Amino acid sequence: MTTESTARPSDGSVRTPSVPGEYQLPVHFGVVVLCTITLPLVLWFIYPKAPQNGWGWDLLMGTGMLGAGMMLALPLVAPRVWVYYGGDAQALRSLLNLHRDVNYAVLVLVLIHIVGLVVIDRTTIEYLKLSAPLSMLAATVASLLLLVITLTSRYRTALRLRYPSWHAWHVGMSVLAMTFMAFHIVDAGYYVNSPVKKAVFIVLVAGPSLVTFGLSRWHRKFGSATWRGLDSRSQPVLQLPATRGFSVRLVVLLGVFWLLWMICFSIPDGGSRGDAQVTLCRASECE
Amino acid sequence: MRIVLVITLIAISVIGYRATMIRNAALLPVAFEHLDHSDEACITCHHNYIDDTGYDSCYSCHKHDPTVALEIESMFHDFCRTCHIEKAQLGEASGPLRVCAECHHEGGRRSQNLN
Ligand code: HEC
Ligand code: HEC
Ligand code: HEC
Ligand code: HEC
Repeated sequence: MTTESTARPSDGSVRTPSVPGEYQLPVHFGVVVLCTITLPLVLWFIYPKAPQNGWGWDLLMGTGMLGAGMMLALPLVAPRVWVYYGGDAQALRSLLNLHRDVNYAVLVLVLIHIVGLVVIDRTTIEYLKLSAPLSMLAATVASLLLLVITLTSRYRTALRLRYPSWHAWHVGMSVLAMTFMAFHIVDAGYYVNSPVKKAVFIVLVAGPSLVTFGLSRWHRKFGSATWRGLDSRSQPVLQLPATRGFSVRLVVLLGVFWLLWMICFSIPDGGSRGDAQVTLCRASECE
Repeated sequence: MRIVLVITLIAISVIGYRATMIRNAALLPVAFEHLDHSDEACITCHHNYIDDTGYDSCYSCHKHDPTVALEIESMFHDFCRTCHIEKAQLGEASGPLRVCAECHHEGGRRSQNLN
């Protein structure tokens, strides 16, 4: 173990002491992250609630929404910013793991969202073409950006990308991807279906990125010790272990929570489709 | 800035190509039934009966009239689904809201009546 965790940075500020190999996250910050992840799903079931489209369709929409929420939480767990607010190099690894694993979870969820829809309804292939409406094209672009971001980050050294330019592109592409994702959801307008919900959603998209941006500016201006909010001595903290397994488990736990959430709150709507239920049949078989 | 120029050129050609793709896209089958819509007045949908847009079937006119050809998808989707969603939110019987195959499939009574 290094002694970095107790060393003082040259600017004389006091870093949050942390156990080597663990990252201390203030509890209220953990709550903010969890809220960011679940809020798109909350928007789904508040008034005016979107009518149901059948379990298969709704669950696939739910994977999209969870993916969106997790994507929004990514800038909050950006190690680059939190390096200023405590934690040694070793401890920050746990945050990096979280950032990575949440991103992989987003990729998987988006993949399920796309492939699943094509599987249960072949017509959706139309929306993967260039002739698709703009809201759907935006989603395709966002997914491709997500893939590029993941690959350039995972293989940054192999691709010989210098850190500063990689970082600038990383931030730029992430902001673009989130903008396209937000446009996809707001313009499709089925679950985020009222002006109020749209406004809330846009704030939700911009919020976490602005917080992260603000923190990095704050650090540049005032130094790291000035932001008392994250001083672990004054409040309860969450200990994040640095192992890979931890964040994988966290993500899996979130998935289970999501499924329960969908089943309990987001999907049921008292059967407002009335008696107009689908009967998929050929003319000859229909009666 | 050569890269800006290149990106602009690519963007322009993609936009142009997209427009031709939309124009050339095949009409998808729609299983629309007048029987399901007998509560509505004809002109709710057949706006061309009273405005001067002309006489043709909805889809073929909207597909070929250059003023609306690029918006066929959004116009019909907004039109058909908005009414269905409003009915569904009132708890009344409604048509398809999102699931594509509920509208976009061959067959149904229409093909027996009209074809
Ligand atoms: C909910 C909207 C709606 C209402 C209400 C409606 N129609 Fe239609 N009508 C359509 C659509 C859509 C088509 C095209 C169907 C197709 O080709 O599959 C159509 C097609 C037709 C056609 C065939 C036109 C052609 O050239 O193919 C006739 C005739 C027609 N409607 C008459 C009527 C009359 C008369 C009424 C009123 C009693 C009426 N419709 C009410 C939507 C509607
Ligand atoms: C002969 C051509 C023609 C036929 C037939 C036709 N339309 Fe249109 N429709 C137009 C044109 C042109 C416009 C755009 C001009 C306008 O907004 O009035 C339009 C506009 C619309 C709009 C958008 C209105 C708005 O306010 O944005 C809808 C929805 C629509 N048509 C539905 C239908 C339906 C449904 C049918 C068949 C039942 C139909 N149209 C038949 C030519 C046609
Ligand atoms: C003004 C309202 C309104 C408009 C506009 C409208 N619909 Fe409907 N549609 C209904 C209602 C109400 C029902 C349910 C009828 C029932 O089951 O009693 C329905 C039912 C249907 C169904 C049958 C669903 C089933 O389960 O059998 C289809 C398909 C459908 N609509 C397609 C369309 C299409 C395509 C358009 C656009 C061209 C359209 N509708 C426009 C009100 C509307
Ligand atoms: C309420 C019925 C309804 C539902 C649900 C619906 N559509 Fe449509 N759609 C239409 C109508 C009506 C048209 C215009 C007539 C046509 O294309 O035959 C249309 C047109 C389109 C077009 C444009 C076709 C062209 O020629 O350019 C595409 C693409 C399309 N729909 C895709 C989808 C997809 C993907 C879904 C599912 C996410 C979907 N639609 C759900 C009714 C519906």
